Amino acid sequence: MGLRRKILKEKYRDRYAPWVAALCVGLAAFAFFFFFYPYHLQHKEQTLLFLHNPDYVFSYVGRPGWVACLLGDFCTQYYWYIGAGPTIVALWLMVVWLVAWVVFKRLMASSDWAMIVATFVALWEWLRECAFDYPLSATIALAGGMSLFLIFAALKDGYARTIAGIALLAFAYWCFAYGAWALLVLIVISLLLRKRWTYAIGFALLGVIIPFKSYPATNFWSWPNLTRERAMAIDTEAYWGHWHNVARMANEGKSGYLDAFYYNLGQGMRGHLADSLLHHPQEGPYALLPMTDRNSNYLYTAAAGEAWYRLGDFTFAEHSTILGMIFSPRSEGTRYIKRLAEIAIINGDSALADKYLTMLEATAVHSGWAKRMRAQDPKDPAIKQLREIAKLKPTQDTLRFSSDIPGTLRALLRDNPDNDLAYQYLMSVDLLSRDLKSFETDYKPQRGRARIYDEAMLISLLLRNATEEELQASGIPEATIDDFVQYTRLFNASGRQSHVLKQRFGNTYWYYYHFSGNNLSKNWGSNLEGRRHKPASDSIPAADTLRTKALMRPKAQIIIPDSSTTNEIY
Amino acid sequence: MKSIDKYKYTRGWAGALVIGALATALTACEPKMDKVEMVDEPAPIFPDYAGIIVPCNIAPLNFTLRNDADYMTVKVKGQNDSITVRGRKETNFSLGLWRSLLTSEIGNDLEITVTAHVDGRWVQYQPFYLTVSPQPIDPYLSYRLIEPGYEVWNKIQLCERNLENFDERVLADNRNLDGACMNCHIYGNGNHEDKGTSMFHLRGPKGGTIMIKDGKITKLTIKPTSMETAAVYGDFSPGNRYCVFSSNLVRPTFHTLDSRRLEVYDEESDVFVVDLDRNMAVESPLVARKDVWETFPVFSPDCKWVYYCSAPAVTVPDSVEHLRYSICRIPFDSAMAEFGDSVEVVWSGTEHNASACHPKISPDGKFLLFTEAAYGTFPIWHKEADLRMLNLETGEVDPLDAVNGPNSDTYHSWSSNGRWFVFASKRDDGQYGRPYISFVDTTGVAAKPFLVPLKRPTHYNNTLKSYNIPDLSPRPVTATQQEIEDACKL
Repeated sequence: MGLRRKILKEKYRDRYAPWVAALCVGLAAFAFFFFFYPYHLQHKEQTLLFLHNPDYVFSYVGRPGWVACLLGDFCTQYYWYIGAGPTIVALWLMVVWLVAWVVFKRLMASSDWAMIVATFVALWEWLRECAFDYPLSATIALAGGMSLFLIFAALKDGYARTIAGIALLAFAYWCFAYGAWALLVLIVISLLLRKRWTYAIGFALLGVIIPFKSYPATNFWSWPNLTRERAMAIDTEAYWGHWHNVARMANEGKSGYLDAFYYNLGQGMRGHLADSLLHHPQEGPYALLPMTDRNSNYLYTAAAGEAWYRLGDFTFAEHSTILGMIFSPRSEGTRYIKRLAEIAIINGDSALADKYLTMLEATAVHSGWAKRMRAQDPKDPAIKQLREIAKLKPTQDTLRFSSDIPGTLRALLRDNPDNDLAYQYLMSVDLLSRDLKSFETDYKPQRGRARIYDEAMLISLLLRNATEEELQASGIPEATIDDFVQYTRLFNASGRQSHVLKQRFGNTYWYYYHFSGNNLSKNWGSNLEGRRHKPASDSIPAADTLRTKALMRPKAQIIIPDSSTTNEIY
Repeated sequence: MKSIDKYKYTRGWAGALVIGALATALTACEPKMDKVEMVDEPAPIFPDYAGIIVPCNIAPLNFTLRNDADYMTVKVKGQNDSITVRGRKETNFSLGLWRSLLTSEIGNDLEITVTAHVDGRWVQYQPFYLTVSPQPIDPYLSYRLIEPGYEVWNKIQLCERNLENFDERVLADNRNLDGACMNCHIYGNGNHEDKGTSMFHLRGPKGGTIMIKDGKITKLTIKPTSMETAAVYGDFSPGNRYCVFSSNLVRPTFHTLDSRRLEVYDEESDVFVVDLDRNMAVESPLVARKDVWETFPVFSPDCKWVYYCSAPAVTVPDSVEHLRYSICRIPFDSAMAEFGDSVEVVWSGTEHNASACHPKISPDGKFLLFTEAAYGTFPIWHKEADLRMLNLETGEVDPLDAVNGPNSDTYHSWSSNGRWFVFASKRDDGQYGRPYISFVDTTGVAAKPFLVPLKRPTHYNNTLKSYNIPDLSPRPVTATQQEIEDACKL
């Protein structure tokens, strides 16, 4: 009875253990991608455009790895739905685990060892899936390549098997691209284990005819990048229009340009930019409306498009969106096409809007959105929002360089004085550039006062030797003036030591004006490195009090670089 | 035992399902055409191939329907031959049958009847017609595929398409060249012994002009010391001994309104000739004036003139809307390799209150095809930019109403027999340029243009790339992609 029970137990263990193990891998992967890493998957969907039409589908055929790519992209499009991405990735990782288990069980003649190896293979693939540009098709390619080994292993030794092996390698490359390498490695291992030295060497040499490319895989190894996950989370929340989440998440992390950018946009969208601007580290005006070029991070470039869209500059919005799209991993993406369609509708480019909407109608998950855009039902909330944004459209043409951000914002305000976001941004650009002359010109107290404006105005008044009457006329609260007096006293007493002032005045414009440093991380916007500016600590006046009218000195202003000339034809 | 049976059972069901699905897919065939309703409207085809003249060597004119048709039958009928194709969303004419049809119908009209299955019923549209010209078009068309990123680029491919079929090959891909920008490729003007001369500019640290000539590929640095920038716009002389270039200091700026997007202008530009045999530049103060900007130079077919566009320098960008380029010409002595001493105005921008770009002279030297825009020197984002045909013998300008579309039509190139020209047009959506071909008769009258046919015409709707600067040639580029890219890397 005991023996029979033991046999039965082993039988059931052999039968069910692999499935349980695969399920565990799948559940763990699902939990990881659902709870800790969902935005990477969302982002993969945003940067993919899978069209359900013959031209698009047939464009896969003929490319190496077309089966893996077609299947992978088909599945990836459904990442749009919450939970679908983690489910799909988990299922495919289970497939990888099961295929690896079957293959290695055959090679090693041990189910237990095969399960261990299969777990390593699945874990490796899981980690690689953490890269932002790693496509699901690479996982499928690996599973496909390994599964073809089972056909090879089922054949009997001999020339026929050798020929079949070569044919399988060609087939694997055609259908699974780099999956052919997985197949080749397995074939060589199997031959070595069986001491078929000549065949093993022969097959190993066949490797020279397989293109040494990892396509469609984009990396050999990866690791979860939680900083990037957070950046993608903020970016995706902005895509969904969850501005409260954007501001909250951006405020939680204070180390990146994207944090600063979305913090500013999130606060601006809620009308709180002036009150909140210096509660987050700012690095000049660049995190407001970044200037981008071909070396910029595409996420940052596309984000700039989001800001321009909300501000109502649809030329720059379109430009940044196109650049974000063409520099994204696949140079396409439903997110970008949707935005381009919106811009085309606002601009009245019906033919262009039709092109984009037709593309989106051919997708599985965005066709409904495209149909709503086409229908233009005024009761539709999305259409209402679009029409609100369209009201910001400029009425006069202005020719400007891409670097002329203040000029562009002024033009937007000239055409739409009620464009509150443009006003908040213009004020912020002036202040963060330390361009107080422009600030004084652009500042409209009747639009609402903010402490930061008063702080800046105090410096302005000081710089131009303002009289007591002018100070009174400015309407700046006495408390703010007193704080400024305290600040300048402490500034001089401390020998201009920033750490002494930081605790009490760290969020004031005075502190920014003196000490804004290069605190932000260099993760984002490599092009911005050359545009960093020096702190103004020794170039502005540090009066004991405004009323003492201290000696004026030249101010340090950040000059936004002019766009360069070029001899390229576009 | 039970479990094995169950396993077999499950497998059997799965197999049946797969077979069932396959069978359904294979048997889901065209609905019966038992009742056809005649409708009094033209077939909503894309591309629009109705009423056009086509060269006798053009690839099949596949098209799709701009409606919800799920099946269609298309009959192409000539005087001597006919073909019928059936398709779902697009036609897919057999290349062999199409060639045979065109060959037997040279000079004749073809009647095309489309019967489509729309919303559960068969409808037959009014037939449309096209004419098969005995004049062939140069079979090779080069273009640059690029996303319309205005001043920034990512992936760029220079491609060569065979217009007699659907073969397209990549001449150079910037992904293999560190992402460098590649300016547009142009063919040489050689005779039939020419071995496929052509060139393009590569920009960036390893930049230069890639010259493919006499079976060799070389990278040249073409920049006269007296000029600010390297060669930009250029053209080969007949025989390909000389190239004429402009050196332009280009500035991109942005509009805010009306989808005008980008305004590109020069802050300086001059014209010069390069003698490829002697490896030297030929300059003249008449085409390198500081107070005048000269650009878009081309040789006349007899090589006695250099035609170019010229405008008095203005303050830019403030006065860019007053920038009017005229078409001028200056004598060129190809034996002595020197410019003449006078400049003639061929077409005045000031008189016409417009600006000329891209003058291209027909191979017989009778006509000059150019782009007319309201102002400026970069018409591809000017919706009003249209093609014009200047009769060089009479001075008359044909507005080419049959050719021009609602958006920019520009960057044109003649076929070597002078009966066809290709140009880039944004007429379809205002953003993405596509190559259109138009027939020109011996009197310079041009016919309605048609979009270069593709095996799958919906590709034009799916692509996010522009077809930049299409250029025609009777001969293909002789070098391979690998050879060209190797030369670029030197």
